[in-house]
Amino acid sequence: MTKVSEVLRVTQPGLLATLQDFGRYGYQALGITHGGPMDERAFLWANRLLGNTYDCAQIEITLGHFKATFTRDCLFVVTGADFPLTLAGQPIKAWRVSQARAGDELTIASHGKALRCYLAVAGGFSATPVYGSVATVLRDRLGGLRGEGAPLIAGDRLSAPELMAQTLESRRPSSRLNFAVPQEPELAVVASGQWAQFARTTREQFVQQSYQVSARQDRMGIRLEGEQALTDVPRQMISEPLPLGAIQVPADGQPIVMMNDHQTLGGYPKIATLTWLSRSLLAQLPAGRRVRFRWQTLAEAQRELRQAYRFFSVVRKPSR
Amino acid sequence: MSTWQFQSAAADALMIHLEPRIELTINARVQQLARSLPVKFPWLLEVVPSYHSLLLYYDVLQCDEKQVREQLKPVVDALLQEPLSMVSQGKLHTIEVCYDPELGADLHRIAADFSGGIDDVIRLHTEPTYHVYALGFAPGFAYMGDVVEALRRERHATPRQRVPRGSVAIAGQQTALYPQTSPGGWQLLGRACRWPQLHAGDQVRFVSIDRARYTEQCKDATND
Repeated sequence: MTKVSEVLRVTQPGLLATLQDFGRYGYQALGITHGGPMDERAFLWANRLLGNTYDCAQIEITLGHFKATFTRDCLFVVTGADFPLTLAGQPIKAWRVSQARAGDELTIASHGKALRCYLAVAGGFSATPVYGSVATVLRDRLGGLRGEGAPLIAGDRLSAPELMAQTLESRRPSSRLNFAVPQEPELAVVASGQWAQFARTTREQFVQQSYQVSARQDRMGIRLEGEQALTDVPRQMISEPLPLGAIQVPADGQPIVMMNDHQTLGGYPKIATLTWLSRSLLAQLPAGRRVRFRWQTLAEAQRELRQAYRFFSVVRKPSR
Repeated sequence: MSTWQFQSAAADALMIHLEPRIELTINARVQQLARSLPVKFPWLLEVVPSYHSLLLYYDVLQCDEKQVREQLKPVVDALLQEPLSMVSQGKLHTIEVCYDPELGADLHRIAADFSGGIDDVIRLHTEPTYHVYALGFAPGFAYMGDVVEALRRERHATPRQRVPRGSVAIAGQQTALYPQTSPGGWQLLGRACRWPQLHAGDQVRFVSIDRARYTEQCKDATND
């Protein structure tokens, strides 16, 4: 067994810093939601850059303003929002593995252009899983450092496995890859749920107009405001299970995207579901930014998800 | 049961819809599918049942949606042809509830609609054996039915900020127990201190207990 020891002490958590692994799968039948990283792509990259398995726990930091001190030497990386970073007073780069020494302070500042970054250490942060996962879900009081769904607070001490022969290989993604979130991203969606019950003109309107990301957003869902409300919305239905990324349209005609902490059942009609990459893009958009939707075939969306899972070695096992 | 359909849900999820009604026989079919399908298909990762629908997550590395539909269709058709008496029932649970106006904030007002007052509400709520249609909203929150017609009440127009843990409540034809303190718009009748983990398809009977026994149980519950 690898020895687990303290690696990091949080001194300033910022607005919201939570422990997240890949998420809690297999318990939705009990009403227990996924949790997990809102920007799954940034999360998976962080683990990949460090040579971790895909589901190693990291800290999801919302809007920066985060400070922590390393209490032993380790390799770490910050991915996601490209906030200004310093280690022991020196600027460092996001998306690039760095070597921390015991006593080094890491600071993550902020800018208004993106929402979330991921702090990962080699071996991943350790915590006791609740329903198979350490993912923090505040509403359900599950996961996190102490298992009761609390966000990280100043003074929290995090541990990680001590890995043998940690060397800085300066792993970084190929410079050909572009992680910048476009100013007005086009979010690919597949037709899903009650799509066929929406009028043809409504489905056209859905992809023709642009939407503003509203301030009414959290880890459960993100409300969007279209230039014009969608009309001819099908009526509310008997509650049915909601997949991650589903776009519900309530009677007011303004879409709500179901994100990682979404309720497991919902009764509003669904017009579409975001693809894997689009979900990660939307997770980074502050209130006020505009987006558009674009239809994608299911085959394309499946190809994208398959490629991502293969690239990051994501293994989904049946839950029973 | 002949009418059912698939609906695309996500890049790795497919929905099965039976007839859109809240009805015991339809929900029993949902439970039957939720139990039977994962055993037959190793690429099926997770099944989430609700009232008349199931969400199936599958492994996109093993199959695409076309293959999933092709393999599921004959099996779902066959399962739905089985006589419903063959469909096994879930566990029967008993939950002891203290129906007291101090523990159920809406009990007084609802009791005022009946000549027998609170006793009538208790009788009507404890009479039926309830069926767990689905779990959702929050971990362990079980949607149970059916509440008898005379006791059906609408949800509050504005939900309460804080419904205490253990509250037993009604809304329309549904009844439920809040497994943890949360906001909620249902009508509160009483409270329990102990309850089992419920699963969709289980049966539940509520039994009325007095305040002394409730207090006793709460003491035990905190000692656990």
